[in-house]
Amino acid sequence: MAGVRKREWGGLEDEVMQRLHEQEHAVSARELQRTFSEPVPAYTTVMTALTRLESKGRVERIGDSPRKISFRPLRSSEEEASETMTSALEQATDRRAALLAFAGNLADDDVAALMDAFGEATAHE
Amino acid sequence: MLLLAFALLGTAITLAVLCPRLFAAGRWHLFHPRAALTVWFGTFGVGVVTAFSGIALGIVSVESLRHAIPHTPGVTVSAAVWVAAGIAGLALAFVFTFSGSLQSLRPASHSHAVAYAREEHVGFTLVRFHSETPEAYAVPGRRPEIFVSSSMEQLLSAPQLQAVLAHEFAHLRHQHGLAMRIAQINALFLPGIRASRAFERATRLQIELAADDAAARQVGAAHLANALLVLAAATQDVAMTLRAERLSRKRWPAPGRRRVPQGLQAASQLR
Repeated sequence: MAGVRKREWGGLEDEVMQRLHEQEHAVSARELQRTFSEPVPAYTTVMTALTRLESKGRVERIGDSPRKISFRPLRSSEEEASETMTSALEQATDRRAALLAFAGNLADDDVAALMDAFGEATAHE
Repeated sequence: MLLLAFALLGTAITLAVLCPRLFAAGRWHLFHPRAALTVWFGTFGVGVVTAFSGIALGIVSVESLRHAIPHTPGVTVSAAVWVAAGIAGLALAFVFTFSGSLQSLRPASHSHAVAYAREEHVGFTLVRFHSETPEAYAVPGRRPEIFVSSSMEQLLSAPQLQAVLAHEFAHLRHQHGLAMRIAQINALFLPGIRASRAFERATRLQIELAADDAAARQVGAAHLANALLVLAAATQDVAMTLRAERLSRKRWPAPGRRRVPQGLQAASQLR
């Protein structure tokens, strides 16, 4: 039977990054695992997420000996946020989603229709 | 059966000709944008189903006629069916190729924006970014996001900002991005047709007004109207002044009946 998904796709990586940013120094996968509250991911799951983040250039691996490997983020959380925003916008373009702005969506003929209906009052002001 | 096929196609054409005139008449659609959207998309759905049913029935009846009378010009009929299928295939290929270049609702000014915070809320992620332009926009998707610029936060009071977020949240919640995309693809399929242009135009205007109404009901029409007026003064955008004026002409529920969505309640703590 398939297990129940506890997080969204990519959710663990985001959480790992958030917890790494909260640490003052580089931490091992085991130490990082201890910072999780329920549901606590398995050690191997944390390690997989860290390896993926390393291949994406978001995390740096420190130490040669397998017992002393620790990890630290390559960018600050502010830089990460900036990066994430750019990716979100690129993704939005990729998935051809419309961005719905608060202002500036209406075309000239839409504004003309509004002007016909409500223009008198605004002209008097 | 062939007569029924012609009747269905005739109905679809009649709907396409009459609806833009009927639905755009008067000002009712400016005061009731949600109802107008429902009517437009309902009629669009009926029109599409009717047209495709007519075409399918036409092909079936012509084919059955060919089998019943073997000496009819079968080659011509078969060729017509294949040509029709080819045209449909080309149209689909055209849409899939060019739908990426559809007019985007994305504003151009954020290209150098730098985000400084991402906050998870119920139903969306709020991304706050540095920009001198007062702007906010929603990005639909599996993990929907609302972007708000620092300039927008500085210009508006907390309730006004909440009203802006409620407007963007309404876009996400009511699938306005999808509605706009359907209208754009329809216009791409039927270029130069008055009905398809009218449908796209109506959708663009009605989703904005419907989002305004949703925000006004949840947060308060006065807060949204004030936000629109502040932004209109800052950007010289007359459309926002007119949207504010429209809000002032409608009647709204008493403050006690407002229901701010859970995800937006935390937004009042911004700034």
